Amino acid sequence: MRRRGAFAAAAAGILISLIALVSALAPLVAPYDPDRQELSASLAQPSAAHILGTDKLGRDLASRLAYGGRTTLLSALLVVALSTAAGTGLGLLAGYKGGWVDSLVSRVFDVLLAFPALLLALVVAAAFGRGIENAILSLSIVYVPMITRLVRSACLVERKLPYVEAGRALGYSSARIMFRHILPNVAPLLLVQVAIDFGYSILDLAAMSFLGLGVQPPASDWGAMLAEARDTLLVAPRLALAPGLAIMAVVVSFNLLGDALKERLERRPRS
Amino acid sequence: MRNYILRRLLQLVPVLFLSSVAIFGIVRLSPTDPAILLAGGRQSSPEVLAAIRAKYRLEDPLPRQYLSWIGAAVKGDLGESYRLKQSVSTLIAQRLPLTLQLILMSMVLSLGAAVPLGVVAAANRGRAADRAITAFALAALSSPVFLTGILGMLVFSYYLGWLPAFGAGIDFVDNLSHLLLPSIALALNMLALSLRVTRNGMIEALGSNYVQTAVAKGLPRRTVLMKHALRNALIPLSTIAGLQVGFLLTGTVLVEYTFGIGGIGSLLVNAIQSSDYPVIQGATLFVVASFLLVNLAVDLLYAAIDPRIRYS
Repeated sequence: MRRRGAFAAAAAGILISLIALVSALAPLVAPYDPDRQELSASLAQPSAAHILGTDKLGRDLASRLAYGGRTTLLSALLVVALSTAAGTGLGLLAGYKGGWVDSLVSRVFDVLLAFPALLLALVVAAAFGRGIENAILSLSIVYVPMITRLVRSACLVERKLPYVEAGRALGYSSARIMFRHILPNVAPLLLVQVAIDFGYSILDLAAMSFLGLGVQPPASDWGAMLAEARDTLLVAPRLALAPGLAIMAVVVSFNLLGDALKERLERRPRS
Repeated sequence: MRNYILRRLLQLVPVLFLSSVAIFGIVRLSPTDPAILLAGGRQSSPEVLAAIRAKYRLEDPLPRQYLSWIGAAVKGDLGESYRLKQSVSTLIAQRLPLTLQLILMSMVLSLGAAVPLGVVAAANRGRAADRAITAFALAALSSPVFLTGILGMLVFSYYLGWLPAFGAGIDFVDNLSHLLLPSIALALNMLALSLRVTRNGMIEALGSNYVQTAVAKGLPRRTVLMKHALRNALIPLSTIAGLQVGFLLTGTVLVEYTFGIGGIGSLLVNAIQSSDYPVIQGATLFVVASFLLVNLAVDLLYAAIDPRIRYS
């Protein structure tokens, strides 16, 4: 059972790396400019020239998939990085300092948690206008409370342990204790959350693009490609299948990775 | 118990108040001038814009605008849609039954599949059936709900022609077929969580002393599974109901949009796409309030389901 889990996690890691590599190297590996229209080749079937065929405007699907992956993965990376940085900082602060800082942070986030996450992101995006930057920003904001809550509760446990007291006795500053001593002990827990959030942010970003609030044409990501493919669903279902399966593959992989990390963490003896 | 309910209801007031401030604040932070939207987005003379600002009291300071909005909202008046020129409360009331039916059908389908599958997976722990069910749930969780919806539409509406692809029916019964595909898409999305909880609950129950005793007594395996283990395994399921509601509320937004169903979700998406601020504010406030109330109801239900939990 354990070996199977490790195998699945390894496979997931390899799959993510491969997709990330193709996306990162899109300008090198993509056979065409993703936005180049060739109306004479509209909805061409897969062939040697276009390995996955073309869309309604004659754009090469394989190239669009690679470039779309770039936008999708990079945006998800930004969402996770921004929300984890902010959430970790606030969580450590609230958990370590306690008192009014903790009350303030907890009360504000209680309100934010009263909103279903994607709904809040949609409202924020509606106010600040559509576009991938705003989608990234609004999703980053709505992901912060969950991470803060996680880090805060872990920090509450850690700060009662002798090593924190030792640090304080040695006269270390709060910042040093929080980031140099507590953070490394909270990090494994955080890593599990990061892996799972990565999957969720890809789903949420795809949803925002699908609703037309994320990436704007002619730029494209997997969610926007899915939305476009709806018009030609009957004649060319592959236009929807390709980005859809890409999303699924990445999200499944991140979930497997998160599960494997969690299992490892739970088995780890607590010193 | 009654005091407890009252106290919890009172605790909702500040959260709702702050949520309403947040909603109002976010929407009004928008760089777009509502007067221009009200004028229909066309180039309008300053006089026209001034008249609109005066009529909708957009020149008032924001706190006063907030107070008049929330004051009316408490009485059930959420303002008037910029685009549809209709009362937001009426719009919500018209669309609520459809969304409720969608939510209800998805819950029934999701639990109806998750509980038996969870029992089967736990009873065959580590074997092929367990692995297949777990893998299926993972795939369903990782598929965006609109992708599941589109694929279902393709197969069951276009290829097989069994179910309608778009829109809603004319009444509750007609909707049963119209909302079936959307509900399945939503149910699949939520399946993983309840399945995992049922499976873990069953595995724990199956390893416990009272189940061992039941097995040792020579009771049939079926009775042990269904009567002894399942009952206790179902309690944790109720604790995730609140999470499920959150899933459902955002899920309906996406599913209604995908299938062109005129419920609360598509009302909200259309409002967002056309910057119809009163509808965005009103519908969001309504959804958040429902979310909080359902979560409270779920909390209170624990006590009814599990006699070990008592609130004071």
